[in-house]
Order: sequence, then C-alpha cells, then structure tokens
Amino acid sequence: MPVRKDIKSVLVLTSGPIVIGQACEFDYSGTQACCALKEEGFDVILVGSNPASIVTDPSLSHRTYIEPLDVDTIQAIIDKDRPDAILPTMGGQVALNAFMELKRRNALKGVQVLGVTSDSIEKAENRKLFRDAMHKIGLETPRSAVASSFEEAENLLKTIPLPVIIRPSFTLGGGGSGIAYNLEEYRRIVTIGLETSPISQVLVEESIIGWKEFEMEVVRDSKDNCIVVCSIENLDPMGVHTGDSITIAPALTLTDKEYQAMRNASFAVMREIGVTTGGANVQFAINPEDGKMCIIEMNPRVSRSSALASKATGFPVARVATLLALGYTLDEIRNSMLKNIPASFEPTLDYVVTKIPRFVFEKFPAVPNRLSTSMKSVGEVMAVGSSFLESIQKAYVSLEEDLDGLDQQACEAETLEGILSELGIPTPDRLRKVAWAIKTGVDLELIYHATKIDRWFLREIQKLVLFQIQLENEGVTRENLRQAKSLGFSDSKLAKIWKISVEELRKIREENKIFPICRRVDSCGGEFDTGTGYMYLTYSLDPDSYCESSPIKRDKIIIIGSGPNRIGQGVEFDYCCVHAIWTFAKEGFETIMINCNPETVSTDCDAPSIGGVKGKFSHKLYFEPVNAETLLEVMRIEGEPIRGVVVQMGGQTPLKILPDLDKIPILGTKKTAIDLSEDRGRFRDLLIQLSINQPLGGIATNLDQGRKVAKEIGFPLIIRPSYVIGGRSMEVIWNMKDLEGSESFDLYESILMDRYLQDAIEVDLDCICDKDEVFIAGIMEHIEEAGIHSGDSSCVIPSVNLSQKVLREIEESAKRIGLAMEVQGWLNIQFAVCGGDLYVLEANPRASRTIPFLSKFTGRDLNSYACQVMLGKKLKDIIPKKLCQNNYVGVKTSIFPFRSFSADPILGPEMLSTGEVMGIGRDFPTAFYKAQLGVGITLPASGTVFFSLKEEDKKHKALDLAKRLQNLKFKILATAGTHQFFTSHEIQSERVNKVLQGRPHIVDLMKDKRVDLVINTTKGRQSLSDSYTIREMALRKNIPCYTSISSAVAVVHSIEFATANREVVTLQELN
Amino acid sequence: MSKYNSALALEDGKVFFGWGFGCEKTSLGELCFSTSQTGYQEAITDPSYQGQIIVFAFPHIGNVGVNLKDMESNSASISGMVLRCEPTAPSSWRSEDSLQNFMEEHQVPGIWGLDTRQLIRHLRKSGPKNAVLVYGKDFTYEEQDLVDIATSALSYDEIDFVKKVTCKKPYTYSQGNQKEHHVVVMDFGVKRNILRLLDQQGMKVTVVPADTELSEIMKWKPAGIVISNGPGNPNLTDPKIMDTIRAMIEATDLPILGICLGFQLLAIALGSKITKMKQGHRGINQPCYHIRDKCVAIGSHNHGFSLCKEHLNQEIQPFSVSLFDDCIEGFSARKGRIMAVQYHPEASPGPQENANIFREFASTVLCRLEKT
Repeated sequence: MPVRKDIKSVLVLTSGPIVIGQACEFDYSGTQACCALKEEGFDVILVGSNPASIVTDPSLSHRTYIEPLDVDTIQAIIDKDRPDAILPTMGGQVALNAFMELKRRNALKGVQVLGVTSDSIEKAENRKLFRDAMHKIGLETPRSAVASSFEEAENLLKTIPLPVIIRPSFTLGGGGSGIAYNLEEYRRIVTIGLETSPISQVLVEESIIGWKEFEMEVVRDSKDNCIVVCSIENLDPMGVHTGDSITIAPALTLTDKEYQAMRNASFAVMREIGVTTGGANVQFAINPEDGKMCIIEMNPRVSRSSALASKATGFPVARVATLLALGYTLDEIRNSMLKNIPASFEPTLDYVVTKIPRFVFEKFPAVPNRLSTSMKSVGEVMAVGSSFLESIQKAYVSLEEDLDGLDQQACEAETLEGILSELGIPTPDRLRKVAWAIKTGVDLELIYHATKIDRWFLREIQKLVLFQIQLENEGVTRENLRQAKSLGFSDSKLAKIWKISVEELRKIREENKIFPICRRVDSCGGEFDTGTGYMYLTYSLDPDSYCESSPIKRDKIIIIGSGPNRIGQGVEFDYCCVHAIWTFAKEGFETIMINCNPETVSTDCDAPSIGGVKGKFSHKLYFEPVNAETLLEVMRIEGEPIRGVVVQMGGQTPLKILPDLDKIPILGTKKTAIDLSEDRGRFRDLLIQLSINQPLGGIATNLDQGRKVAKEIGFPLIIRPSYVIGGRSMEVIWNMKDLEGSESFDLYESILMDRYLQDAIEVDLDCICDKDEVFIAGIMEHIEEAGIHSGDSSCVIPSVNLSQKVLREIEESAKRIGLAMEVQGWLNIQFAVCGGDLYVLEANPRASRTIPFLSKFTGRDLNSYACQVMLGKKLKDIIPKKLCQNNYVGVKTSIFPFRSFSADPILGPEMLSTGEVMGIGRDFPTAFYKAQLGVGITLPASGTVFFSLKEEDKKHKALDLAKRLQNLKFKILATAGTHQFFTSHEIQSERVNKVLQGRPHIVDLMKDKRVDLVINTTKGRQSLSDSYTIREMALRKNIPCYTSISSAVAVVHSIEFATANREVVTLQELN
Repeated sequence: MSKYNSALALEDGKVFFGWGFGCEKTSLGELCFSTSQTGYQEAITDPSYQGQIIVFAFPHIGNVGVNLKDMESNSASISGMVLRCEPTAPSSWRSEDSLQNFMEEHQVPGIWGLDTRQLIRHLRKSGPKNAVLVYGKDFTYEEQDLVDIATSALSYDEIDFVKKVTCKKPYTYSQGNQKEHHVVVMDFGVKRNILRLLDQQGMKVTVVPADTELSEIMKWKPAGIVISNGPGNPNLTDPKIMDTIRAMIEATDLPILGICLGFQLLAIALGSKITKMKQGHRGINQPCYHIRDKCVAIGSHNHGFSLCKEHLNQEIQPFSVSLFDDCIEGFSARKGRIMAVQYHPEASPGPQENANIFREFASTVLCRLEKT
C-alpha cells in the first residue's frame, strides 16, 4: 500500500540526452525510481527525451512520454494527465531546472513535490544563498563573492585576488566554469560564465587548488534520520572537476576524527539546505597541511556520485531515495539488494573501488587535454579490488584505451624542472606520467609538491613501479606471479613484461593454479551472509582463499556489456544488454552480466526484477573489465552448463575481444559471420555475388598507394582506418592536396578508401535474421546526406523521401545479405541511395545504436525477438501475426559536446555526438521541431537568416530554401558569394562581411543577437577555419546553426509546418 | 617476496601463514573482527579489546599513522592484529608515528597477507575462536604445535579481564571545564572518550577501580555513577562487584549510566540474563531504532554478548533496539534513574549521533540535585 494515501500518480522527470556532465547515471536512477514507485502501487508518468535510455522504456512506467524537457511540454503533460505529485530529483540538473521553471511559472498548482522543495533547490544552487547558509551553521567555504554583471565581477578582484575559480550558478558539469590565473583569463571566463548561467550569475571563489577533495553521499528521511552511504576521495586534488577526477571509495587518507567531522557536517548541510527526504551529495575540500575543512557545494538530488556510491557499496541510493520521498523512513525499508540488511545499515567496504573517467580528447585535436573545473569526460569506469593497487590497475584496463594497467607514460619534458611542471598540469594521463617519473628516479616529495596528489597514493604507485622492476629482473616465478596478480597486473601486462604471449602467460598461471576468486559486494564487510548476486574477481595472496561464487547447475547465458560511455558507444548498448537480461531471465536461464560502467542499469545486480521478471530467476553481475581475461575466468568459475555468450548487444566492445578467443560458445551469429563483415575483401566478394552495389573503394597502406587508389576511384572520397568505432579518424577528402595533408597514413597501418557519394540519402536498416527468414525491424532515412557519420546524422522513420520501390529494394537487399551472412540475431545495414541507385555502405551483425529508438517508435520489445532467435527459435513463431502501424513520425537527433570543447560545430564522417533525443509527431515537421527542442534549439518562426554556402551547394535546393524563408518573412543576410548567387536568381538578400572582410561583420551581428538562424556550409580545411568564428558565436549565443543543406531543408520544412501547440503523446498511445 | 615469518593458528586447527609486523612475539587471544573503515587506532587502544586479536576487514590499515589525541587508553589493548595488506606508511597531518612503530613499542604483534574476508566468514559461521599469533625472524613453528597452543589456552569467556584493565587507584580526569557536579566512573576498562564527554557535560570525573566498594564510592559524594565499558564475559564478574552494583541500585537514589559491559552488569543486577550471541556486532555502522525518540541512530558497536530477551523483566524498559537483529541496545529502569546502552555512545571510532545519552545523564543528575 502506498504510504502517501493522498497520492495516486507521480510524474517523474528524467534527464535529457547523454551530454558531458549528465550521462546514463540518470538512466540508472530514473529506472530505480520508476520501479520503486510501481512496486508501491503508484501510477507512474514519465517524461524524458532520450530514446536510447532504459528509463524511457514503456514497460517501466504506465504513461511514457518521449518528449523534449522544455517547460511548455512538461506543462502540456501536466495539463493532460493531472499527476498528483512530481518527482524532480532523479533527473539531474536538467530535471531540477525544469522543475524550478515550472514553479516560477506557477504551473504546478495542485501538484505536490516529492523529495525536495523549490526553496532548498534555490538555497543549494544559488551560490550566495548557499554560502550564507553554510556560514550560518558554522561551516567554512572558500572566500567568495557573487557577480551578476561584468562590472560587478571586475570589482570583486579588489577583495579576492587571482588566481580564482569562476563558477556559474545552475549549470551542470561545472559548465562555463574555469580557473583564472590572470586578468585576461578572468574576463574571458566571467563573460562565458554569465552567458552560461540561466540566471546570469557567477561565483568568484578564492582558489584552493591543491587541497584534498572529498565527497559524502548521504540520505535523509522525513523523520530526520540520516546515513552516509559512501565517502569518496578524489585522487586529483581541488582544481579538477570531480567528474574528471580519478576517485576512490571509501576515503583512504582520513582519521576517524576527521571522517566523523565530515559526516556531521554533511548532515548539518542537508538539514540547513532542507533536503527533506532523499539523497544528496556534499563536496568538501581539506587543507592537507592542517586539516581545515571547507564546503564546496552540495547537490540536493541524486547525482553521478550517487550512481557510483550505489555501485561501490551495493546500496541502491535512487531506489531508497524514492521510497523516502514517498514518506517511508529508513527503519521501515530493507536494502533490496541485500535482503536481510536494513536500509539504515551504513555500508562498509572491505575492498577498494576506483573510478576513472573516460575522455575523448582525440576527437577534438584542437583542444588541449588539460583538466579543469568544467567537466570534459564523457564516461567512466569503475573497478573493485582487494587493495587500492588491484582496483586502480583494473580500472585502467577497463577503460578500453589499450592500457594493460597503470602503464607508465613518459613525460615530454626532459629536464627535472620540465617534468615537474608537466606533472603539475592535470591531464587524463597524469598519473601514468607520475609512475614514469617515479621510475626515472624523481623524488616523491618533489612529485607531491608538483601534483598535490596525496603521498599515500604516490607511495602506493611507487610500490607498483618497484615491483614491476622486480618482475623484470627476476622473471617468472610462482611467487612473483601470485603477488603480481594480487596487485592487479593483467595477464597482458605480465606477458609484455616477461616477453611471452598472453596464451603462454595464462598457461603458466593455470599450471601454478593461480586463479582469481569471486567476492560478493555485500555492504557489510562480510559481517553477515547476504546472498547478493553482485560479484567481483580478486587475487588473494593466500592460495587457499575461498571463492564465493557458488555456481549453480543451471543453463547460463553470459552477456558481455559495452564498457564505458564514449562517443560512438553509449547507453543504447546498455539498453540492449538490459533487455537481453530480461528476455533470457524470462526464458528461464541464469543470466550473467559482465560490465564495468557504474552509471548503467546493466550493472544493477537487480536488473531482472527491474524488468518485471517474475518468479524464479537468478542473476549475477560481474563488475569487471570487459575483456577476454575476465570472460575466461568467469567461464572457469561458473563452469558448465553455459548455454552461450552474448556478444551482439554490447556494441563493438564484445567483438573486440573475440579475436583472442576461439572456443567461446557464442550465442547467435557465429564468429565467421562477424569476421566476414569486418573483412572488406570478403564482404565485397559477397556483395558482388549477390549483385548488390557498393561504392568504389580500395585499401592503402601508405600515401603512395593512397594516391594510386584515389586516382582509380576519383574524388571526393572517404578515408578511414580499419577496425575503428565511431568513425574515428574518418575524413572526407576532396582533392589530392587534402589527401596529402591527411595524417592517417602516418598513424594507421591500413586505410580504407571509398568513393564518397555526393548528395546521397543514407539509410539505416535494422533486421533480425533466423537463417531462414529476415524480419525488417525498421528503415530509417537520414536527414543529413551520406558522408556525415550515421551516429551524428538525424534520422526519420518512416522514410520521407524514398519511393516504395526503393524501400522494397532496400528490404530485399537486406534479406539477401542477412541470409547469405548466416546471421542469427541482429543485423544492421547502412545503405546510400544516390541518383536512384542503391549502395551498401556497411553491414554489422550486431545490435546497432538505433535499436532502442526503433523499439520505442514501434512499441515492440524488438530485442526480445532477437534474443529468442539467438536461442534457436524461429521468427515465424515469435513475431505477432498482426503488425500494427502507427500514424506518427519519429525523428532522432544527436547532441554534440562542441561547447565543452570550444570546438568547431561541423559534422563529418567522424562521429562527435554524445547522445540523442527523439521527437514524435503526427508529421515530419512536428517531429523534427520537437527533436530540435529536445537538443535545446527552438526554431525561429521568423526573423533574420544568415546564409554562407559552399560552391557545390549553390544550386536549386538552396534557392528553394531561400524563397521559402522569404515567404515566411525572414530577412536574408548572405556573404558576398552567396549574395551574388541569390541576386542572380532574383532573391533579395543583404550582403554582410565575413570576419576577415572588415567590420561590422557577421559575427558582430550575431553577438548582438540580430541573427536568428545560420545556414553555413563549407568544404575543405581552409574555408572551415575561415568560417569557424561564425559557428563558434552561434554556439555561444545559442543561435540555431546548420552546416549541411539537407538539414537546412528539414529545418525550413519544420518552420513552415510545425504547429506551435504541443500535442504530447505517450508511447502507450502511440501503438 | 620474502618467506613467511608469521602465522595465525586457531583452536579449531586452522593455520594461516603470512608476514609479521610490529613486535616479534607470540601472543594469545580471542580472534574477533572489526568492519570499520576508519579508527583503527581508537580500536586497538580500546580496553574492551583486551585479550583479543582483531581481524580488520578493511584492507588498508596504517594509512593515517597514529597520534596521541586518538588514544582511548594509555596503551594498546589488543593481543594482535590481522590484516590483508601490508600496513602502509602514514599520510596525515595528524600523524605522529607509524602504526608499525606503535605496535612494536606497545609489544603487539601483527600479521598481514591473510585472506581476512575468509577469516571473518569463518568467525561469522563458527563463532569467535581462540587463536595464537606468532611473529619472529627465525620462524620455525610446526602447524600442530601452534594449534596446540591455541587449544590449550584458556577460553576468552573464562578469563576475567577486568582485573587486568581496571585502574589500580582512583584518579580524577579533567580537561579544565567548569565543574558543577561529581560523577564516579567504575572503571572496567573505560575508554578515554567517555571521560572526555562527561567532562564536557560539566561534570567532575573521578575514575575508581572496578572493585571499589559502595561505601568507598559514596565517600566521593557522587551525584551520579557511570559503569564503564570493558572486555570479557559479564557473567564472570566478581560477585562482590555485582553486590556493589546491586546495592547502588537499591540503596541509593543516584542516577546510573551503564555503557556496554556496564549495560550488561546493570541488566544482571536487575535480575536479567546476558548470553553469548551467535554473531556479535562489530562495526561502527550499526543502526539502532530509538523507541522513545522514534529515530534511527548509527553507532559504534562492539559486543559479543547481549541481553537475553527471554529473561526480560518488568524492571527493564528497552528504549533502543538493533535494526539488524532486534537485540536490545538500550534500556532504562527505575523511572529513568538508570540508563544503560549496549552500544558505544562515546563513539571514537564511529558516528557521534548517540552522544546525547551523556547530556541526558547530566540532566538526570541535575534534576536530582535540584530536587534535593
């Protein structure tokens, strides 16, 4: 029975798309919240804009809206469904901000708020109010002051001397913040900060860079009972955003007196801010010299750290916070993961957890990889070990950055002075440089003063470095091997140290019977028997250690996860893995998940029950690096019968480990088919055999060959290294000069070169094959032309521009390819339609990133079909006879981290987006309009449009666009060439200067917000940098900016026809 | 890696080998464990751990060294220490010395390199065990010899440890706070933080040996009495001491506060029974439900005996129960004049939210003074 008898329905706000600072941790928390609410008998209404997430699955709520999270839309939902209450604490900053705006608009009449009040949000997020509140309860904060204008900020420097930290109010991931060491930096960061803050307010704060940083994850109930779930220590000291820091749980360098002072302060902060029920996160800075403690900030909601704390301790923070928000108290609830432990039991660990962020600086080569107060990482990994070193080495392996552990990384500097100043700059690989510096004999004290990384950690790393030297000198011995494994050395690392193959190393390890044992994450340090299914592997020094796996004799299916979020691989694959768990659990198998991403639902050891799997199921989670070593050990520990290993749900990660493994019982599509799709030559032969077209192409191993191939197939062409994800290093090459300027030939062994099909429409198709039949799950037409990475391009379903004939041809080709490749399960094919001809670009026999989008649009659990097929069932027996079709249009649009990296917002063949949103409407313009809203862009209904077009685009399409915009009463501005082109076709436009042509120029106009829409297409490197300032200003001023004609066409179409009134529709109504 | 130079042998025949640290010697004790992540120094100087060898669940011990302020008594109380990882050098601005040096100085041996989780699991399943910890440079013991030593030793439950840890003569504890009234603390192995917190309540604190007779105690003209925490089996307490406590309850109207062992002694004196628990409480993360205040408090627990529910009598009014196993963690008697808690309200180590019992005790003392 619900505790709150006055509430029947609850509206849950989730976060939007995956962006830097807001990743799938809110998928995890939202999912737990929905589950808890449903179990308690509430009607759950959910709104989110991210189709890739699990929380937006229609099975998790009664009414599921995939709609933009702008206030008009949420208000429309409230008007439509009249919820009794709203839960805004599960969707990160986006949800909190939306809630605050609703409150300001007075749109919440009669809707109760659960878990938080607007006053407490105001107090926690408004920098000045927060600081005053802290002083009131006797806690110190760094000296600081608030400014709401540039002039005010200038004045502040009189009282707070440089260097200072500038933090805008109400932003996420430290967006817009930075450290200023000089006046010029200060002015720049303040300007950006004021623009970034939704209330134009920045806090200017005394710099306490170098202090130690800690976090406390706390929960509180309505009777004022508080507990600490977890303490977290940032290995990187103050000055690096906590999301970008390597963090350790629990805190390792505090005495009990200090820890308790921090614990008391956390509770005091919760009480003063007024987090009435639920979870919060409090951040502290500690002066390492005298222990002086400062409060940095607190989040009055479930956060990234909550997800980490949940996974680090086995305490389901979001679930408990939801129950507390409903009125339960801590003494009334049990920890759902550990049945016999009350929720009030403060978790204690007998292991060490390390989180390492995953960065993507390689995608933005123009940006230095320096870490600061604004977050840059796109994902993270966590590892559990019996000691700090085992844990951190496992975490490095988990990153999938080809590291074998805490590998040493040489500094660029050569002098001691240079090395120390290099170590002083926080970068993603700083700790690896520290290891190198220790190896080269740099004094630990000097390193400490350069980095301010606590001496305890430095000494541990020193231990590691010394031990590695011992391994090199002494060679393979049983004792060395045992100790090395207990310090977290991976098989691949040891193989490299001892210059043998990984297989040989493994053989030696087996001969010496050195195996990992399995431990359960039980929240209580082994004090009680808990029976949780949450496991990790560890190596003990004691050869007779007890393995806690207790495998059962029951058919098992091992599902390999997708590792850390990164560009090219994100929550969509977690969606697939979690749905696979649900299906296989329902089919009666024991499911075993292997993954290392703490933000995800797949690493919730309660995953099957979240999916509503009833009855007898058993599920185990191995929180481990996703690699061959883990898989082999899990298989050894679990023993027979293993029905199969699922490698087609976790994106490219599971496929990457396959080359190392021959004897794995893969479930579904066999390895030979996977190899076929990766082997260009064989795949080309297959297509020829099937008489299916493919763009002309070739392979080159050096520039000379490259020139030859280019001459054969002609320009433009697309080049890319083989075996990469997310179109890493993919480029469009327009001429020989571009080709010669490309770095790829120096960086990679072999380069694939394909003819670039200009003005082609790209099409994504997902289908399920059972070797007899092929089920077409969906065909999505890309909005941007071929050549822009499919993960970045917007797409629409059903197709808008393709004829029935072409669609049929696409289906037929897909069926023939699927059967010929002997796919059993998912197959994704990318096509291009060019001048009426159909080409196959690539085929991947695995679940693609569009599966969740398709599943939500069609309202079917498509992945369960694929999973059943993998088990050997036939499509004809599982696909419902009646295929209902809805009358809606779905648009998927990507969101990009350009702002975080101050990068050029131009799209190309290398994927750059971090996440996606979905817009659903009765027609394409509406769906597109909503999708744009979802990524934070409101398309203008009228105003001023600026055109600057590349030569190839000065054609009919562009003229048509300009005319239609003119009909919509847009004023047209254009650069000289484009202006001339328009004039010669009798379209009125006003000529404006490019930046290099003197002032006033276009950027001046944009600065003053006198431009409402930018259509800017460019080609080649030089013109890209010429027009960069235009796009940069668009980004800063949030002016909609489109860099391809095809997307501009969609934009204009949308402006013409999208209706302003918000029709909101649930997924349940859709189908 | 160097050869083993240390071993831990249990009375049930289990022997574990590892590497020694601290003092080179052979030491006997009851093997018990602690799951605390912080506060190892407070634990090893807590007299309640007298005669015990502690297995730490948390792998990194020694990380913050030791300092004078965190001493809970004048010396190390434990008989030995069992760790998973080699104790590290300290890194803390509060640290004055390393754990290894401290152990050596206080003659306590330690062993590392053991699978502590497995040991805890074993203790959890089969109950506390007598054990012997051996550490020596020329380590040559035979397994069976070690087991024999462990087996032949007196069981922990049969040893009256209080005699060893109680002070030899009375002393006054003061941190210079203004004193209003006088409490006498019967020392069964009192933790220093209890005295500190009483002092903070404005009480003049006199600590007396556990076997001090009531007439002697009354000579101090106390306004209240505290029966302290301490090690061992409460049922072994000298009958004379039990008589003193009974007389204190029956023949005086003094407010009495019992902590941990003090809780157990008061319960026995009030006609109830204390029995060995199948599984003790050993951590600083234990939730209790305070019935009166209707709230949850997380606290420091270290007890292997508990108040037997079957022998509850009307004298005893529970006000706090464990949310984990429902065992009684606090009671009052005689209309609130007697208060007793099984947990450690003085924390140190552990959360400090149970400390209000000292304020309550102080106000009971004050109340009585005002009435008379």
